[in-house]
Formats: sequence, C-alpha cells, structure tokens
Amino acid sequence: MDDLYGRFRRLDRIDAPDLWREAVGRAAAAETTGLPRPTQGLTGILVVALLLALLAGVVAVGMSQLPLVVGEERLIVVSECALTSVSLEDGAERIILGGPDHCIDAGANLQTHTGGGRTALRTTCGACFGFGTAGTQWVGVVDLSSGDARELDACRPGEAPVCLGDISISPDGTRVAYTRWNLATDLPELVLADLDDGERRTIPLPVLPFTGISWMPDSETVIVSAGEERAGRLVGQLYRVPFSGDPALIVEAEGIGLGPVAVSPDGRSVAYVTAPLPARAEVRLASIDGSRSETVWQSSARETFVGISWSSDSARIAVTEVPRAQMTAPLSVHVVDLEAGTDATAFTTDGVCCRQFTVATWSPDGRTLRIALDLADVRGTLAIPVNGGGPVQVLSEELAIGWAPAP
Amino acid sequence: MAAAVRPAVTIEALYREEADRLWRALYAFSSDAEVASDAVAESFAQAIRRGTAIRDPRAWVWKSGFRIASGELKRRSQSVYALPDRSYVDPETDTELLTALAKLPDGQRAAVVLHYYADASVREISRRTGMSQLAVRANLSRGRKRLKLLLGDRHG
Repeated sequence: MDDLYGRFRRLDRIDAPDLWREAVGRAAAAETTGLPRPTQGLTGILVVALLLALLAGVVAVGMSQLPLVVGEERLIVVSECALTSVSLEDGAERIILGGPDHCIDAGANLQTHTGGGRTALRTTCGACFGFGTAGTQWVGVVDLSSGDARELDACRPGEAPVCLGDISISPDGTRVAYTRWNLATDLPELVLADLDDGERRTIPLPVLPFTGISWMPDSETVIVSAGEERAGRLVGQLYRVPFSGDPALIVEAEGIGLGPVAVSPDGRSVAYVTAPLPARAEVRLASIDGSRSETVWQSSARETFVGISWSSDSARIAVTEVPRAQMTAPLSVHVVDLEAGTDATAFTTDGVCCRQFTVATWSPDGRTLRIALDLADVRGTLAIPVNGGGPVQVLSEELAIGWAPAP
Repeated sequence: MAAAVRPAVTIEALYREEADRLWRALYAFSSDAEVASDAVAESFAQAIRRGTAIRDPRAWVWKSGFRIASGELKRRSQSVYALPDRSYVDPETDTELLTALAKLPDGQRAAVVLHYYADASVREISRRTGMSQLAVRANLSRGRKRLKLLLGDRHG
C-alpha cells in the first residue's frame, strides 16, 4: 500500500469552512442583473439578425467514446469557468484564462474567432456569469500566450443600450472588427480597432449589419454582410471596408437577406450565405471585387441556418446546416469542392438537432473537419474525416471553439 | 434556452456530501485556503444558477472548482504582487506534503490530489479535470514519481 494514501488521508483532519450561504448569496446576486431589451423599432430585421447570430438548438446523436486523435494541433476550448488550449497529441490542457470571473454560462451565446495568437470573444447572455460584470454583453480579445483579456466594448445593465454583434479578428491578430447597434437611436455601426496602437474607427452603416464579418488575408480590409428592408423585402449587401477608407458596395442581391460571409484564405473570393426565409438557403461565391457571383450550394430543406468555412487551400468550403426550428431535423455537414464542382455530405447526426454546436472548421491539413455538439446524452468535439470514415470524438464534454497554432 | 431550475435542496444535499472533500482537495491543490474557499463557493453558486442544465452536478462542481482554482493560481502567478497567501494554515496541515505538491505542474498536481485524496479513478479524474484519460495516466505517473522524490522517497 502506497503510504502516500496515508498522508493524503490526513487532509481529512482539517476543518473545512461552511460556504453554503456564500454560494447561495453569489447565485442570488447574479439573478438580479439583466440586459436591457431591444427597442421595438428594430423588430423584423433585427430579430432575423439575432436569430442568425444565435446558432443554438438540441441534438440527440448516438456517439461512442472513441480513441483520441494523435496530432500536434491544439484546440481552443471553452468550458466551465475556463478558456483552455488542449493538445490533440496527449490531451494535456493549458488554462489560458480562468477563474470565478470567467465562468461562461452554458446558455450564453459565445462567439469566438482566432487569429495571430489571439482569440476574439463575444458573450451574449441575459443574466449570466460572463466575462466582465455579470449580466453584461461583452466583446474582447484574449492573448493565447499570456491569458491577458482586454475588453473592447460592453453592454452593461443600466447604461446606454448597445447590442453587440459579430466579432472577427484579423489573420495577423492585430485588428478586430465587430458590429454594434445603438438601440436608443437605431443606428448600426461597424467598429474597427487596432489592438496594438489603439486606433479605433466607428463606421456608420447605411443598413443593418447581419451576421457576417470576414477579414482579408492582408488584415487591412474586412468584408461585411448587411441588409436593408425595402418595401417589406430584405435586400442583402456585401461591403468591402478598408481599415482606413470608405466602405464600397461589392454585391447586392435583391429580395434576400445575407448571413455569414467568409473570405477565402487566398483572398480571391468571398463565400456568403443567402438566407431567403422561408425559402432554401444558398451558399454563393463572388470574386472579391464582386464582378462575378454564382451559387455553389443550395440546401435541400427549407428554413435552415447555414455556417461556412474555407479549407486552407481555398479549394473547398465546409457547409454546416442546421434546422432553424429546434429539434426538427438533423444537423449535417457538407463539403463543396470548388475545383471538382461536387458536393458531398460528410456528416449527419443520427437524430434531431441540437442544444449547442459550432460551425464545422477545417484542420490545417484539410483532412478533417471539427465540430462541437452538445447532445442530449453526449457533449463533445468530433473530428470528421473528409475522405470517408466515421467521426471520432476527440474531446469529451468539452466544446472546442476554435483552432490555434500551439502558443 | 432557459435551463429548468433544479431544486436548491438538491444542490444543498450535494454540498453537504461533497463540499468538505472538495475544499480539502482544492486546499491541497492550491496550498491556499482562500483560493479553495472561493473556488468551492463559486462552483456551487454556478451549479445553483445553472439548474438542470448540468447533467452531473457532482462531477461538475469538482471540475469547475479545479478550473476556478487553477485560473486564480495562474492569475496570482502573473501578478506583480503575487505572494504565497498563507493567511490560514490549519494546524493539522501536512505542510511538507503541500510544499511538495506546490512544486508539481497543475495537471500532475490535480491528478495526484484527485487520485490519492478523492479516490478518483483515471476515468473519474478525466471527467473532473477535462484531461483525456491518456493525459491523466501520464500526469499521475509523473506526478507520483516527482512527489516521492520531493518527499525523500520514503513512500516507495
């Protein structure tokens, strides 16, 4: 018998304090805070925008625990009260940020985007333990090496109502773009911030921004999707916005709204999602100047949310499709091969979809897709082989939110 | 989607069953009574708030407790004013053991404390820490070896 057991047993002689009342008090304090509600003037379009942003639902999928994938990549993982970097080689965790001030509510809508050794985060929660003060809506950036968290903007209870939208960090990690709505004036804005020199631009948008922001590879320009209501119809638009320059309209598509947008890694094309509710969603591809545009994928179902991500060689697009109404249909991941002109279903859940999920993203070598799902009986992160083979659960319980080079 | 409310009495029953052991484990993990207290109070506060959104509250409070304590230790280590806080040292404390534990990396320390104090299996340690079972085995093996070395190899 290892005598270490005996030494550890002596810990039982130590009196532990009674902290129950403290725990109850903390829980009650959090219950008393909340977010201001949007004004009525934004109804239709804003609701659609927020619905597109709130990618959440409930999935029941039969998944078994499978061996860990061996590799050298790291996942950025959000979990109870910590943001961690997890090695896929041995599963070892490194806490980037954690502690009682960083407990992300399970129901919070968390959006992240990683680039250049930093992760941009946005939490959206009505009354939850989030980043910053409880009850706030928060956007900020976390340095993956040091764990330093910097607040960029927040909507705090009792202050001027601002609704924070999509956030995206530039590929080199030096700049951030996010959208915000001043709910008191109904004015939408695009905010561009330089993280190193502190320069910050707020650009009034002529129309409401939807859910798409994507940086060009040079970290100088963002593409943002937007839309406006004309005679009761949504008109979608893509704008090209230089960090130091005026927005330029590159695509306008009448009769539809625009959803997520993603610039190809080579910077030549932009993929965007049209969400012509209640019709079928489409993924369209445009040249970066907007001179050409074509449909590369169309949903076979009506009223679905669609997320997109590019492979690193700019040759394929992964399309994650989930039903707009919760628990009505499976989640599926499709791979669109732009060179071959094909699309194939890489993964479909066995059952209906889902409480929480992330949009499928590519591994750097383009051989697998990763997606996190919160299912009725299993919660975890899957690796999906693109060229055949079943999904492998790479993390149990954890929801991986992004990829990062090992910092 | 709002979580259904789990009766507070259920969480209180869990608190009465687990909190002392969790606190002592966190005390051994952090060598700091304040860190342990803060982590226990916060993890149970979170459990109350989240209600039935948590599938396994017992595993959850252990996991979040260790995460909160790890984050706090990291924050303190990065602070200019970071000093070991020994504001409370129970006379029953095995300071030699705690000092040796403090020299282990976080993953090894968590695995060793959960194994030797909380009687947790590799699978259970994996659930409570978020580490893979492979990582738990490696951390446990390395941590045990290092701890014995630090304690003068009297426990071989």
